[in-house]
Amino acid sequence: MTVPGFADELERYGVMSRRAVHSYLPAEGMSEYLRAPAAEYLGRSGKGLRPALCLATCEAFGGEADDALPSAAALELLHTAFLVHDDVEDDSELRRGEATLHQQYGRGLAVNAGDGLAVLALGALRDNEGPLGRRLAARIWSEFDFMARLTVDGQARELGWQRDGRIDLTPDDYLDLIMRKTCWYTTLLPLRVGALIGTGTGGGRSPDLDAMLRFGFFLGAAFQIRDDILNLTGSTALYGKEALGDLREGKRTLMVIHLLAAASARDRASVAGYLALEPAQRTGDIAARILAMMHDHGSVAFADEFARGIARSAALTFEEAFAGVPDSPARRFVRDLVPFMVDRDR
Amino acid sequence: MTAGPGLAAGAWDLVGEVQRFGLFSAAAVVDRYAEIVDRAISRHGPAASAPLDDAGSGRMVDTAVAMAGAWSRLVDATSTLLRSEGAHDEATPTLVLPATEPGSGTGASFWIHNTTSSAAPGIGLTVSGLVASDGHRIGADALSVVPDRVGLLAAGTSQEVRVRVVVPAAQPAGCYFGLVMTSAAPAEPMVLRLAVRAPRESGP
Repeated sequence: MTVPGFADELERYGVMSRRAVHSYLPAEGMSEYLRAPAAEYLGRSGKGLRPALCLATCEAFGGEADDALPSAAALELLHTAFLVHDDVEDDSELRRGEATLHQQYGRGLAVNAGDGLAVLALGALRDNEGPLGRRLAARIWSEFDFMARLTVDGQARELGWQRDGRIDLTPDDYLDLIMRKTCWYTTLLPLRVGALIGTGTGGGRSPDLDAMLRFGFFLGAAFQIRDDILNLTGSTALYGKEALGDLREGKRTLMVIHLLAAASARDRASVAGYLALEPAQRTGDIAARILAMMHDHGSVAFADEFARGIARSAALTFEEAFAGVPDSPARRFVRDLVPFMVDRDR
Repeated sequence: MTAGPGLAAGAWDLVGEVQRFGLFSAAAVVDRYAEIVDRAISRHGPAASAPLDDAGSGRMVDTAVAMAGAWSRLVDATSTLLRSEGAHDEATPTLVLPATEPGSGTGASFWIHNTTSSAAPGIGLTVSGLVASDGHRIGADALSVVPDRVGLLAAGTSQEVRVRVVVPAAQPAGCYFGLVMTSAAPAEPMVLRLAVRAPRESGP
């Protein structure tokens, strides 16, 4: 379901942020061995939700989108850097419907391109000092610093769980993981940074960052669980990643955690045995059998309803986080982002 | 979960239960992070000073126990539903507020769910003062509950309620308890728990 005008606004923010992102990729003085792989994912049609959320929140809180552009660009650059490294770590095959960067350029150049994108993000953040002033720019830096620490920590936890064959996990472990690994940089950082810049430059009252935390996490968690479900049930053509990729990588999604808890002792041993296999041994046939078990035990349905409860809270807490913010196209855009992110099929 | 008319009796209850479990679980995570993000960012100090693995410290244990109980019941209920049966009970209602120091404020959320098929008329909420085992008290005027009245709660919807405490500057450290009462369930108060830490030393 897409609200009329929403797609146009998303595209408008997308054009602004893509232009800003590419302005940090120097046309000269950078080897093509770096520039080409660094530009590859940026040129693929991502949704651009993170920069759009940042720019719209800035406007909603009384600022100009231009003031948030360096931060939005840094967000997209860091997000892309994380994706590159994540694909290498998981040895994924597809990203946005095409071969992953390491499949296309080799691991070495892909990892280096990921490093390069993260370095470019630092330059974008440095550019905050001019328009925002030192104090606000330092605050934005702290927000990014905190996010980056959480993200790499979350990624380490997930990889560690896979390496150590952890099967003693609960939904709380999963939620804590996605708070660190994806939610902070997908929703919380764009919201917080957008609101801080909007009020800092537009003269509005300070945002309620606690309320923003609730709204951001509910939105991000519902989005991530939906993403995990799509990885199991979505069409590869629409979704852009290989089918059952998470299952073949042994990721501890909510569905896996539910299955391990709900299955009979025999089925549980079978799932544990599957997760203990080397990634290359987790063939599509075995992954399909695990998926069938998930359906039999209601694990996919459980995750779907679990996410739906969180998504409903996201819609409610939006009003709290944006209380006192006057109606505007930007405010409506953020509100309409909730169903867009949690009801998507790609 | 698409709970169609052919599903076993209890399916709709379970759908609501799973949604509430998702909501409660996510709210518990948010409360934990509200503590560390303030320390890490709002004071403009170096983020490294806020350990990333202590989200919620003491409260996490309580939350984990409550959530583990609910999780276990839901897994049982899911299995039961798949055998066309269904029954389970509620988790113990205790709201653990993030620990704080004298002179500071803290707060947490809980949710009221209307699980019936009809709208619930006005629900009033009242919060008591807090008391510790050594007799020290935090007066009810230091606590607030927002909203203190829920006008009309439509069928199948939920309302978040925030409880906030401003701990008096001279309050002794300790573990304090109180109650939140609702007019909708007068015989089922929710326990409030707050750990007041000793003030941190200042200076070099």
